[in-house]
Amino acid sequence: MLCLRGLSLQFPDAAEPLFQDVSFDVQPGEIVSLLARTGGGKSSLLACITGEQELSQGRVLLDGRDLTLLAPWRRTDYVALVSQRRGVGIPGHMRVREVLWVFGSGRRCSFAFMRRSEADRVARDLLEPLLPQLCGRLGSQVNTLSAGEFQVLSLACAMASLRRRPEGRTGVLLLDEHVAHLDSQTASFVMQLTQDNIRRERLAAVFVTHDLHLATSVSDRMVVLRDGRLVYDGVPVDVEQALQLVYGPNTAELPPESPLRPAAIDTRNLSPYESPQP
Amino acid sequence: MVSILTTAVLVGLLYSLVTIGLCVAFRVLDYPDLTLEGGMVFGAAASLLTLQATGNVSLSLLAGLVAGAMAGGITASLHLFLGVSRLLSGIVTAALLYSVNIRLLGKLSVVRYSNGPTLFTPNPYVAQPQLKSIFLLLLIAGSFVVLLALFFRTRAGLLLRGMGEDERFVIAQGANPKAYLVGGLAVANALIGLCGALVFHFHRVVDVNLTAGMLIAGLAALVLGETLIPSRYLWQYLCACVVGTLAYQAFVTLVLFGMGRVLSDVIIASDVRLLTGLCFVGPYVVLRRRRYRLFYSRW
Repeated sequence: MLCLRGLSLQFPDAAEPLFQDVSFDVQPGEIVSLLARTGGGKSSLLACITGEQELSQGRVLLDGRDLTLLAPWRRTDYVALVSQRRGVGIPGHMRVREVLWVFGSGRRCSFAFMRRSEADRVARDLLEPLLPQLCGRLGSQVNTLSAGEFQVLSLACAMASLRRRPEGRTGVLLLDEHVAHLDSQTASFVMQLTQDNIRRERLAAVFVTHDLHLATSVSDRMVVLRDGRLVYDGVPVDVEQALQLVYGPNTAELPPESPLRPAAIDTRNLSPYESPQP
Repeated sequence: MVSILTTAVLVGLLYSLVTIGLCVAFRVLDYPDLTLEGGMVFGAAASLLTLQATGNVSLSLLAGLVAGAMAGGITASLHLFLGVSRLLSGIVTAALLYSVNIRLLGKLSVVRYSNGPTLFTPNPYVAQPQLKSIFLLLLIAGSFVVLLALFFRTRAGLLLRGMGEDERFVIAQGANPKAYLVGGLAVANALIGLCGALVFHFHRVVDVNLTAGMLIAGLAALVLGETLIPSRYLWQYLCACVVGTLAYQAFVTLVLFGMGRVLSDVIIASDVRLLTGLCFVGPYVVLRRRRYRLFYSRW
């Protein structure tokens, strides 16, 4: 189980903390969506869990052990991040085969030599359950993949790195708007893959998104940050309520053309995961 | 004319390790490493001292390699542990090493090693042994190209290649990116230190100002090589470094000594930097857009 306890983050030059006293738990096999405005500290919170960003206060506990005591490269067997940004954690000039071999060959000797046949086998093993078509592009540079293929590759890499964790320990999968740039069909495909993997491997997943429809439909629990504070932690609410939670109770007073208005978001972000009409 | 070209090939092969070292630092690691200015002489000086002490040629070359690696390690440590910026870390190391080099050379700026064997005995300036020297240098450059090409297909090598673009890739493998940067710069500068040792063995002299203009020459050779051989794979890229150095030396030697003989009142020896600059800028002018790029040139 992943437990976040009293997390606070204040940048040295900021007057106010980005977030403070944030505590919530994520059970194995559970998807918790984390909602906040843009700049509300969602991605920074994930960076605190991976260790890329140092916390001002608070502890990140995984199965009762304090992750914050570990250097970022000691956490990677337990924590993996799939990001919307291309090139995060996966160098664009390397080939798909090389990337997957490095991730998938486990913790081997540093001077283990990459044989092409072995690399292809490792890469196929990782890609076949996700997207078999991608097996035809093992020799391509990561840069040349489409956005959807790149997200599948990221997911494959994340799953491979989590497979290195010791038996019986919880793995944490952090999803940072990883389907935000994809068209709705691809997004639903990647999201379905992600969900299947989370359930099968019993990972504790934190899902950051701006798509409230998606958040309400895929998550088991919802956590909302507003003005740096935790304002909601519980069962997923509907989109209307989620808007109120994220943007505050004054959403109705926004001007009619504001993209923050519920109606505007409703029409633009029709999501395939859940039909808007029952 | 033939002798001019032979000299160009000889010198080109001699300095090709510098280009490969710069390629590892600038392109693979994406680190603007200027340690070369001091590190190369450091390698040459270490080689000289070892040769004077033991008389063993291979030990002396090894000393150059190790000294270069140390210089690279110092540069990386300045950046990683003291927070000196990437560009400055190399400059600071080079400045420190300049004084160290003079001390190593016994408070002299030029030291000759006239007696005793070197890698290139007998004297390379005699016509026939040039071929032997070329063969020897080709063997050294070739073996380092093969070794590096193999190394960059190992796990550590792949991580180094990934680190140039995103160190989170290294972190995600449970490896400390700092260790990899130190290792990577050590490899790059070991090649440069070894090249310093080779240059000393070739000319039988260590000059603290050996590296004047060497950095820009190496970069020009690198850019030239990239342009002449567009590479899809890293081994092609490493070969391109050697070819680029040869092309650069051929160009400079031909213009300076070939045309210089005819147009002696137009071309003077100090034009070498101008020619180097042309070699560097020329490829950018001719090929403003490359269809295929293995690495990003971000410097």
